[in-house]
Amino acid sequence: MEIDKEDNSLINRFLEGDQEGFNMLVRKYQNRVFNTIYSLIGSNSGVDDIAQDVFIKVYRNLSFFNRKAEFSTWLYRIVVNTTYNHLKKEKKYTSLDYALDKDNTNSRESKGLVNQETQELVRNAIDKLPFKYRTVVVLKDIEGFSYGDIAKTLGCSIGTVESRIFRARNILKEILTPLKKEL
Amino acid sequence: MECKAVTRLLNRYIDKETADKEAVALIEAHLKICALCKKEFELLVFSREFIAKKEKLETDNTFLIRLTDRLEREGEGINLRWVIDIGELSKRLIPVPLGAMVLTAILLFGNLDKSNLIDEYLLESLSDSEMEMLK
Repeated sequence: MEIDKEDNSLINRFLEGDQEGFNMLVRKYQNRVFNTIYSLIGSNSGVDDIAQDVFIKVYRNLSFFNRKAEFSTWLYRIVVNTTYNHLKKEKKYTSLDYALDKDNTNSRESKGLVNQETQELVRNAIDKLPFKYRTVVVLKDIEGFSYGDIAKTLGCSIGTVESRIFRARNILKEILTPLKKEL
Repeated sequence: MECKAVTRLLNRYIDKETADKEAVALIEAHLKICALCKKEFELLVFSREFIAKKEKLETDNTFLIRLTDRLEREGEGINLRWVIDIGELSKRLIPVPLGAMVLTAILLFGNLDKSNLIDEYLLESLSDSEMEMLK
């Protein structure tokens, strides 16, 4: 992640009392936040609420953000932690409705660009990963982060990221190898 | 380069995270002669590309409206005002001697500083790792 002057400028606007600064940050990151949460929880249901929780945390704490790290690094850290907490809570209430709710979201699948069966397989494969492995796979293979960016986001070393990617891909390899011939 | 060393470096190689050009050359040379490592490499690339096919989810332009509504509904600013209002109200209702006693207690224990109250209110929703990046 390169130093983002635009983010700094928007943060300054917000801190000077201009609400539009915050609104522009939301518009800039909302789709990336949505997609990351969606990939981590494997369902459309609840994505909107978690994304709102994320931006509310940002709104309430932006004045304390020290800017030693990129805003996006801090944002993604909040995304990962908030999603993890959501999943932890959700385990207690297994009867929660998992039906797809597409009222407020648009997926490319619904536009017919991606095969539905493939999507089901991808979702199932990612869902089988423990959260810490799922996180690195989502940030690396879906969001396109570098190892260094993932390390900063998760607050761990690059070696840890590398090791988690190694384990995650080994698990995925086991799951996906039987499918290789079919696809 | 041995198979074990190549396997260890394969993910870095696939992700283009190998800065060492010599290591890249050794991996590529090994993959040309070792069928097992090449198979491992192909499976990892397949897994990676398969996951990258995941559909993208996007929100619509009403997200900001919903977020703003929720911020207002949750009284963003109102909660802070509540903290401040309590301070103002107490000034009017609490008799001077009692106020003096409370003030003494505050000075002695220093744990009811209003700015601390506000900070704690703001920070309570963040985890420790999220707070690492705060002032």
